[in-house]
Amino acid sequence: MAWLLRKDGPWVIGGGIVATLALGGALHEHSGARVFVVGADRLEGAFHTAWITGVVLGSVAACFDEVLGTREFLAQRPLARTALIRARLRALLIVLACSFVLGPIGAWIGFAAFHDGMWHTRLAALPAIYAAYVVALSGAGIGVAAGSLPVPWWQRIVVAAAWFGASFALIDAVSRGYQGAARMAPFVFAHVGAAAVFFAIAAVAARYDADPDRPRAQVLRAIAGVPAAAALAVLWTVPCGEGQARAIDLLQDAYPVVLKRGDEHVLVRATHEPGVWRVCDRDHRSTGERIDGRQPGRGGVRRPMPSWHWLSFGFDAPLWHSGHQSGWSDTTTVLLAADGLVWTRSLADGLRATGRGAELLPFANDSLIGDVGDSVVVIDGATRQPWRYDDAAGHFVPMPLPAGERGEQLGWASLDDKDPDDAALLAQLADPKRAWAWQRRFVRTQHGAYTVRDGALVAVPGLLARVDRGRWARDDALATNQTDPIVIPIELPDDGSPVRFRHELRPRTANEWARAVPAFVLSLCRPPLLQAIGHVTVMPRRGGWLFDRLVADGRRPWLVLGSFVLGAALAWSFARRLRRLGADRAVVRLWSVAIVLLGLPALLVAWAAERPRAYAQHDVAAAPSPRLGSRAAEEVPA
Amino acid sequence: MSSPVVTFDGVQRWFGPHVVLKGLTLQVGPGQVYALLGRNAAGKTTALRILLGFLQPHRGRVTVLGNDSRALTPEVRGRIGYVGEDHRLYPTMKVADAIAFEAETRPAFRRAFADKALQRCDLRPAQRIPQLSRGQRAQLCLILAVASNPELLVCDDPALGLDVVMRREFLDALIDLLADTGCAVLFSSHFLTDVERIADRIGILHDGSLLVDSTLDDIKRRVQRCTWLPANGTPLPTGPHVLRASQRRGGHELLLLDAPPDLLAALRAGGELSPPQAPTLEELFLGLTGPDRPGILREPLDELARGAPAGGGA
Repeated sequence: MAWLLRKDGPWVIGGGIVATLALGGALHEHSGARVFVVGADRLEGAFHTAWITGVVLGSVAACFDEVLGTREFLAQRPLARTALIRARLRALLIVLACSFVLGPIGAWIGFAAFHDGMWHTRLAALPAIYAAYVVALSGAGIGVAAGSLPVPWWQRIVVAAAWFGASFALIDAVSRGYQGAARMAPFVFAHVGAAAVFFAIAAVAARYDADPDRPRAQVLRAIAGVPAAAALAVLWTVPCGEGQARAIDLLQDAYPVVLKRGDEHVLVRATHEPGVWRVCDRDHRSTGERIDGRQPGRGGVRRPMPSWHWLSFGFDAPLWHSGHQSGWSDTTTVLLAADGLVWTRSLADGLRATGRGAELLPFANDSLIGDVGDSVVVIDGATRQPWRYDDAAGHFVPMPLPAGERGEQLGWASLDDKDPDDAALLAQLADPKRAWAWQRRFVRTQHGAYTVRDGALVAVPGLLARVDRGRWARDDALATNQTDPIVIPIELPDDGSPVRFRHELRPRTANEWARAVPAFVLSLCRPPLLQAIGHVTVMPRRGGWLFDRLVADGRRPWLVLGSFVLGAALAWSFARRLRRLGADRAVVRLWSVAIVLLGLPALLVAWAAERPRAYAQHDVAAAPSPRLGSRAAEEVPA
Repeated sequence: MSSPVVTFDGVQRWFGPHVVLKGLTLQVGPGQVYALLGRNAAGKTTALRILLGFLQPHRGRVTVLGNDSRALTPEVRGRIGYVGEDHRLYPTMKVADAIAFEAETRPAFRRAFADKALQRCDLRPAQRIPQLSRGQRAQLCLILAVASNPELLVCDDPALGLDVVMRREFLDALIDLLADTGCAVLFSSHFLTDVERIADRIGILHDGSLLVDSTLDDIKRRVQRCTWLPANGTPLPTGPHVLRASQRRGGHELLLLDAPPDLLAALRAGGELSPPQAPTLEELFLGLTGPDRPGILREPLDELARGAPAGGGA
């Protein structure tokens, strides 16, 4: 129906123009060469612009007639509700489709007007653009679904925020791959799938009118109430996790540390006096003995805590591959596409294709690029051969490695330049001609580290061993830390020689229990379903914030059971309330199951959805007959 | 005999603690013009919104053209015209666009009829909706509703906000447009002179239920208004024939229903009675729904006249 689209004309045209300008303009965060030739590895501006645009457009589409006051003017027409909803969703998709097409075209024209070399434009660069744009679809779905809910405006905003936070963070976690790079296909399909789900929710929700004086339709509870509770449950894990992290940090601070005294190890606690320790027994109680650590020969303090950390919640613009895309020689920027094609860009020559050898052959997929020493280096993804860009020749030339060595990575020397040993290593990496931060990069092989000096690879002895001891390598290795942060076994010495001291750190004193209990309580408050899943499955590398470390890996089943018991108690009390209000059995059953599985968040949603006003019954006395009545209507001749 | 177009059967509806309809029962026959009167918040709009399916009743049932109002199909909606009190139209459209929009969304829309009606009301197709005066917008809404050839036209206080001339024009347009269509009309209004001009039957809604549900002729025939100055010690008359007795400066104003001759004779015997007359609709309405304490507005004025502060400060 063209007129149903035309009545939406103001927001369709206005929204289309704004969305096109926003999506097109956002591509200008990078150069035209990066966006349309090489294929950007991350379009942060486009990603954030797209989801904001989507949410706003979806909300406007859902609420346009309501804001204009024409909702009933439209509803009294001989049109099926589904036709109205279809027209609304169609208008939204038309706006998004137009901005998806016109945005990049406008951006390309903008680049072409001010930069040369845009004739290198490749279709292979488009997937990265559209993968960044795809969040506009899911954002629009969330906007239109939440906007169509027959609930007060503040509840729509809360539901939209919950759906948005939960779905984007989960998709981010699901689509993340090696070293934080996102996998494009899962990312795109997940967002398109989410959009389809939210559009379906909108299509159902828009059939119902808001009426606070009547119970909601059961289908609304199922398609909007339960998903809202689920989203809130996902988000609820974040404050629970943060609270647990804080409590466990305090607990670990309260645990005694191990002091090596001569040949023996003792548990000690710090005193207010610096360097003076108070000895504890195996139950962490003070023995009264004091050790002055400042005296010579007293040995060192060991704090054998597992170096775990909580995986933080969040989402960000996806990074499509883990390596860098560009390197800089003195006058030229070298750009490497994910599919191995290479270009140079300089003020003098503009954008120019280059490659391996004089034939300008492309590199393999997943090749790596970076500035190493005095050159721009690419490690070929297939042969693992390092290549150096030769400015004079205008192409890459190979750099031979010792026999049996393969270029594995372009490493980063995260060293402390104030440490004399580290400074000596950094000095070997530095190129005296280019005193900038990128000089810390090196070619990493199985057995060594190399920098480039005068066009050749030069070994940097000791660098690899030093870097692998570094902080970053350790943190990365512990990203999937499975250890229990509360019960910590200690075995010393830990250098492979026979164990002479064995102890288990766990809450033993009242002070330690006081710090452990909040962590357990927050564990009980987590959504029981997620607790059960986290208990029986392996902690995921990404999205670990969703699950509880205290019950992961099969630990503490009593905590999982406790969360279900708490959920059941909440469900029972809410079911009583619902029955008192006069709700149907189906309503009681639905919310009971939701609360048992999702816990407190489901209770909150149920409480907001099932207000006493909706179930109120008034005993109205039968209206008296009109004091002045005459013949009934059916007796009036037509 | 033919079945009614609209039937309200014991309809109850509340908003929070406020019971707005306490068992509304009325019928509108084919071709009948039914005026639903009542003070503000009497429940008129609620009744009409339930009829149109925008709201659901808590108890009772509304039948429209033989269908339950809770499940109106598009086909039934196509047989109902609606003019809202705010004359809502899409502000970005022109008059011609509004006509085209109506024509596309209502299969029974009569384009030629609408064009002719536009001419008669001096509305130009090129005029933009925001540029129309309130009266013109009301006329356009009426044309759009009537041109779809409805069997039932529902108007919720359509003349609200219009000045006297505009109201007259609007009503003339309504009468013209409905002539010979056989369309039943259910409308709410505050303008009782207008109602007297066009309504066949009147319902006065007060405190959630109907006080009056009668034809205008019946009202005029059965209700009498008179002024009665009682002799000392004569009590005020009560009973089913006295709709209201209120004190006035020149005695008591009585509103009598089907007053039997012996009641009139007793009143004459107990005091001085003016000749009974048929009341205007406004007098009847005020008599039935007016404030129980006539002095409610007079007391502050009296205090003002005595020089006391109107708010009666501490």
